[in-house]
Amino acid sequence: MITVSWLIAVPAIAAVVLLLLPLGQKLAGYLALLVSLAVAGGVIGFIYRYEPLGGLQFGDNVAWINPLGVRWHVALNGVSLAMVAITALITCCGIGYGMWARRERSHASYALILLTEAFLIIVFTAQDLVVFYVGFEGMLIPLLVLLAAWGGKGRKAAMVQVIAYTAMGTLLMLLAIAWLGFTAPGGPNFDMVSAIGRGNDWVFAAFAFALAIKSPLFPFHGWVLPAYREASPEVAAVLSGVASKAGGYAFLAILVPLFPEQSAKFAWVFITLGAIGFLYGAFLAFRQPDGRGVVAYSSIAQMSFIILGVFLLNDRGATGATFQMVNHALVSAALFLLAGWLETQAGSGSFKHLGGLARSRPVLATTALIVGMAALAVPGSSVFASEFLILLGAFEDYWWLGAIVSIGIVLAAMYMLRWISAVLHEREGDFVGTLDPPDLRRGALLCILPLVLCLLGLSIAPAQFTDRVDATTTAMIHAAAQEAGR
Amino acid sequence: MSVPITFFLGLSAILFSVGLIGVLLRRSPLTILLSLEVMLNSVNLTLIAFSREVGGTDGQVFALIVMGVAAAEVVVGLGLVVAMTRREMVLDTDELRTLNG
Amino acid sequence: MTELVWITLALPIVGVIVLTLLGMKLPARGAGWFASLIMLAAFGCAAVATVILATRPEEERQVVQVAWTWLSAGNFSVGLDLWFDELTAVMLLIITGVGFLIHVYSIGYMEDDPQSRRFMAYLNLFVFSMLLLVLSANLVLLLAGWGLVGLSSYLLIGFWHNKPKAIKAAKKAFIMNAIGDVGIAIGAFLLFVDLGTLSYSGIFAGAASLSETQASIACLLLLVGAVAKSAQLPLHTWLPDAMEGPTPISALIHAATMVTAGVYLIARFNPLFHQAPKVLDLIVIIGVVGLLMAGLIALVQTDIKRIIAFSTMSQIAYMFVGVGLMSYWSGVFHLFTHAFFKALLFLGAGLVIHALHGEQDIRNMGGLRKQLPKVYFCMMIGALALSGIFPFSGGFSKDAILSSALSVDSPIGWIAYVGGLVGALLTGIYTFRLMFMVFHRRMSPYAENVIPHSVKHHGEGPSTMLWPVYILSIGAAFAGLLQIPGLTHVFSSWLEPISPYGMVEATAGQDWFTTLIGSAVGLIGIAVAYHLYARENDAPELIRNGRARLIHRALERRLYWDDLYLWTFEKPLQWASAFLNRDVDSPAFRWAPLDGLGQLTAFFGRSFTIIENGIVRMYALVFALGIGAVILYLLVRG
Repeated sequence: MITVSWLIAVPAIAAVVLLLLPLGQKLAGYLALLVSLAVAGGVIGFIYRYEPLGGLQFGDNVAWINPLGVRWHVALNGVSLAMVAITALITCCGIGYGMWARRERSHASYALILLTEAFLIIVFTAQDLVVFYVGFEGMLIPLLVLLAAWGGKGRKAAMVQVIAYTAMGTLLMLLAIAWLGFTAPGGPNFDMVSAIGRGNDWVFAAFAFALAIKSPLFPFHGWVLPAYREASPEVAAVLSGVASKAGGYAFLAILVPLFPEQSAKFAWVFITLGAIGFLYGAFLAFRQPDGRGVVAYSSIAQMSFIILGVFLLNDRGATGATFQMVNHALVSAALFLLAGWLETQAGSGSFKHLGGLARSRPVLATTALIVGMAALAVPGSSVFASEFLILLGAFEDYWWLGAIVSIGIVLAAMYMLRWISAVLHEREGDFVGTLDPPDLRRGALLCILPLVLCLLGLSIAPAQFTDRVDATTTAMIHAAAQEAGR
Repeated sequence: MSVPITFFLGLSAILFSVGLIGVLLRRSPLTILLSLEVMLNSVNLTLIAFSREVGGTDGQVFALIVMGVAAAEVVVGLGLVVAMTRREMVLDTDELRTLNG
Repeated sequence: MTELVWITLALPIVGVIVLTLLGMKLPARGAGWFASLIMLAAFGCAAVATVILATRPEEERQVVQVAWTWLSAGNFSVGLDLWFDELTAVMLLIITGVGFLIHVYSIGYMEDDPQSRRFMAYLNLFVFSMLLLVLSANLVLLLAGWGLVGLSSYLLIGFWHNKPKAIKAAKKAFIMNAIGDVGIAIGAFLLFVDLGTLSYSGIFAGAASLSETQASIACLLLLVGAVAKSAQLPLHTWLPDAMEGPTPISALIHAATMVTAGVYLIARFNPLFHQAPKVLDLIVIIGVVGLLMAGLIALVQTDIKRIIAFSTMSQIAYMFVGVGLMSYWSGVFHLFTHAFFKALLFLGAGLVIHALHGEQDIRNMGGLRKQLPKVYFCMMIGALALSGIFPFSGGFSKDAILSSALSVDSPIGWIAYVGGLVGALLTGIYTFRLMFMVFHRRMSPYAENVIPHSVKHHGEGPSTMLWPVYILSIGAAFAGLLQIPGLTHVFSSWLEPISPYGMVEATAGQDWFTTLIGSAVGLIGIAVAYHLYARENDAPELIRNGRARLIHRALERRLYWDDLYLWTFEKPLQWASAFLNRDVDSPAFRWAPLDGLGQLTAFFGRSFTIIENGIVRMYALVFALGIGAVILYLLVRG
């Protein structure tokens, strides 16, 4: 019987193997891809067997660090499953992209990406606070090494910012977790269920602070732009696509269920910050000089919006937020891979040098258009469906909020159209003219195509997704919603 | 009739204070080392006094160890003083301030 | 029957997929014919479905079918539901019928363009989106179609994507329509909060239970969407710019189908709008002001397509008047006839432009009636229909709207009636200004250079471009006969059931009276145009530089709406964004926290250096004092 632990162990072991064994670059690449595909296959099996109303599934629960009462408790619920699925998918695409881009010392980069995947799956499946913390903090290690070793010119400054921000946050979270674990009745106990409702305002604040930084929620977004701009494309895809979702996921799946009273009491804070962040990110994305900047700020906007959705504390908001996390993961990963393709093939990601790429490059134009249109939530797309749900949830209790946030949707249309036309349309940029990049072909296309197909599939039948997670999200916000008197 | 323990302890306290004051007030490394020896030996005196009072040998063993450590410490300390003299450095602890923050 | 409707909806998307996947492997002409045949098949299905619908008794003509649940969360759920009734059938026929003709026309029009396959794929995508829009049975799916037609319109306006003007126009159209989308979305949210459902049947059933305020707010929000899509005041500025796109697009999307979606929306939601009479009045006002304004602006434009674009805006404003007066059938009837004659005019203009190698300025035309007699004849039919001259189709439908206004007999009705007649005068003038400038007068030097060569090689145009124009001419000439006052009432009785509260319908006497006046006013307009433009004279120049030159200038600048939006929205947005980027985000959120952290650390460091002075004796003293303190504590504690 395959359990979640396998999904964690396989990539972790593969990472060690890749680091230690002197495999050739090509062989290492295929091995890494195979492992990531195997994980994805396992996830597909889980999706197939998953019972929407069955609670936690495919789990393991064994003693781990006995004196502290820490247990290795990992399992899947609907939201976890969605997050694990995008993790597996984006890891595959990221490794594939790395193979296409032919990095130096590539075996180490594959190993680190696989390690990140393992840690991320820990985060998304942990049912024990210490296990969660291990994943939450641990994923930073491979990500930072990836940023430091394969990043762009400004990677050092970017690293300083990432470390300063995240270290600040996770330190407080560690204190919060320790407090919760050691004050448990009957000895130290870090199981999430046992921590429900025991926290006070300060513990809640410490926890929320760490998650807000990771997500990022306005105004804790300072590390995002340098990190997304300097990381190599596949790492940026993993960072923005999945790692940032660790924050959003934890808000919904850990913070709100564990602190129902505080979540209801302070929901207005998160809703306000989310609304501000949604507009703020959109405003900033509008003037960025390059594609990565646009995606970085649109990520800030989207994550703020997702957290807003979580703290609406109704089932539409929560389901919409989960759905939006998946959609945004697909969109931002695809956008970063496209940005990487542009940087390698057209020599620059800056709008100054790009333009006119649609001419005689039909595959690139079609792909970029589909992704761009999904990103601006064109009605009928899956992103539209999730934003619709969140806004519908917002309207039930705060109609004025829905009205304000709607402005952000028009702004999103504006900055994504700017991206599309600056890359694909208008006059041919000087780099495009001199380098004459080819169309998007097999290697790179194969890395982006799965993301695009998932977006299209989810657009045709979003209910296939929402039906699977609805029971879980409703359960997660149930207690907090009652506290809030809904 | 033996000397009561309070006498020993009193003497030891006086010696310790003398040593401590020496350490705190004098600035020559050599004198500081001397004062340290006085302090150590006052502690030795206490140990042996208690040892006789209790009737065990633990205190005496401790005193011997302290002597050994003291000897080693003096070797290092005097070595430092000699080295400093050779380099014609000022033998004044207040002038040696490389540890300041 | 429902199967046929499903097939109608599915065919164009099949076309999109095939054209996208096969792409360059298809021969260009083959791709064009493939897409056209798909449209013909869709038209056939729609026609058969309509006939079947017509054979049903009246109360069974409303069909709702659910395919699958599209989106759900908690107790909220919307499906991929189709709604097929009389109004849908009319729209379906227009979309697939006119759509088919324009597909065929595009084969010829895009002959020399290496990207014609992409064009055909986009066209099919547009038709699919438009069908989704009119077939949906709930607001979410309507919104999906609404947004997708905006997307295809964006793609098609910006089809020649190396033209920066075209891309700018495409973006403008998309963003203005996004405002409309948001309006409808918020309206949908409100209706869901009030009624707990987003399906048409639920909304129509619950509409009566809404208070007037609730219904008015919801209707206003829907109206935002309608106004944006239909290029009505105040969100109309995108339509003239959209003329940067290929001409078949202007005919299909920006004349016949998409821009009339706003009229469809209001007619569809008539049970809801019935609860909000003030909003209906507002619609009439928007319509009257819009039709006058667009008519005036059209008087001075010089780009042939922009003149027709403003005329489109003006004609849709008539439709708004019609539906605003609760005479839904007349609004939709005008939509129907307008689809013929406006598509005809655009396609004719396309032939003219084609013959002149892309020239669009009417001052560079003139005297073309001898070289392009067929085009001239067809466009004349379109122009007469547009001017509302009896017995061409536009006359019947426009007069139906105006006579409804007459029969309402309220202040708002009188405003509509008088405004509509003045508008008819303007229509006559600007339409025939165009006709005379293009086909009469002396030929301009440019045309003299180009046209003989072009006619010698291509004739008036390829047959794929001419035949659709002929067919549309027949429609433009005779479509009005469906509704001859007092004799036939095919249209009004067919659409009667879509409104549960009945519709305004004028008496035959009012109809004939209006027809008489309307045609007379139209003829006066033509006469004025003839006087001013049919021959070379200096009257237009005198107007241009005379006492009214400021007004003239304002009209040329389209009454400064674009400038207004530039300075109230676009520029401030850019300033705000630049300001936030430069002066807020980077210093406040990127560097301030890091600086703060650094400063904090340094501060603590400096604070503690006071005791770290390097004097060993001091350390020893502190140490001794510390020990002393501990001993003291132990003693005191006992």
